[in-house]
Amino acid sequence: MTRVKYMTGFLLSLILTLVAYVSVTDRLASGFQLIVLLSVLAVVQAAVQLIFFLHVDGGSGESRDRRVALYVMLGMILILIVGSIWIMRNMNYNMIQLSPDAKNKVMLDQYDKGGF
Amino acid sequence: MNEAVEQKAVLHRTTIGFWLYLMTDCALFASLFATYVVLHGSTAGGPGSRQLFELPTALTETLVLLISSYACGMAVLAMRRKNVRQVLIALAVTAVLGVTFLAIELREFITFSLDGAGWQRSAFLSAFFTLVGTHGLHILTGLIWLTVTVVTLLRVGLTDKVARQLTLFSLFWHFLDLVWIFIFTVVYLMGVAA
Repeated sequence: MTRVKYMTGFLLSLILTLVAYVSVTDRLASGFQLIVLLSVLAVVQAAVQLIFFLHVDGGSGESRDRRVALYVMLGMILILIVGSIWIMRNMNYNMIQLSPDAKNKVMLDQYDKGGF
Repeated sequence: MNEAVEQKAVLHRTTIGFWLYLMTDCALFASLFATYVVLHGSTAGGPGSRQLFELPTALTETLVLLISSYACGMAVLAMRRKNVRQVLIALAVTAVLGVTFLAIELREFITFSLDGAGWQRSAFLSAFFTLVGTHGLHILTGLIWLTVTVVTLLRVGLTDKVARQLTLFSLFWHFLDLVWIFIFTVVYLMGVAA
């Protein structure tokens, strides 16, 4: 039973990795859509490995305790990463002391150069 | 009978404790990921992710680590069957693939550094080396831990304590594979795609 479980996790991870890889090399999507697709594939693979390799799926005491700790950490990760990106994307804009129009110009120039 | 119950309780306690450590390690990696994403465009006129990264190399690393993770799972299954020979074979595969992964990563780091894309070149490269290097350092630590566990296993046999060590190591190893999925996706795939 567990052997089957490991094999399932392995094959699913393999497929998800290859799909993600091909979607970039063969340009199955582009721009924002590709980013969303890659994110979804990564999160699904993370879930697959958590269930099939790290066994956080059980309803028994120990597995449940680990799942609770995981949920708490997922919340913290979300705050950390989404929060950082959100704040840093807008920080320059909020810190510049210029008229709104001049500010927009500075930000657009910066965006064209590839920065935030 | 009583001792078996006792051993199970000890395993439960240590697993939970170790799991909590892994969760705090998540916070470390989340901070490094956030830093990397924020600094991704800050190349200071130096090379960006698209010029630098080679996807076939990254894919090889991903597959090597995935198979290593799977072999580690096989070691735990063999351990439950008390088959020491199979445990050793599976762990040897795990270790060899772990070393391979580290060698590929090191080669990439050296190539970057020699091409003038070291960690001192730009904020983007500093963030890249810190994030990927921290993961590599975890892998190295895991390999040392694995070596110690195997030596202990060879000397004292498959005792409860060694079995516990192996269980915790497998959690650590699977966890590192999980973190790598995100490095592969966010750093390499998105770095080349964006």
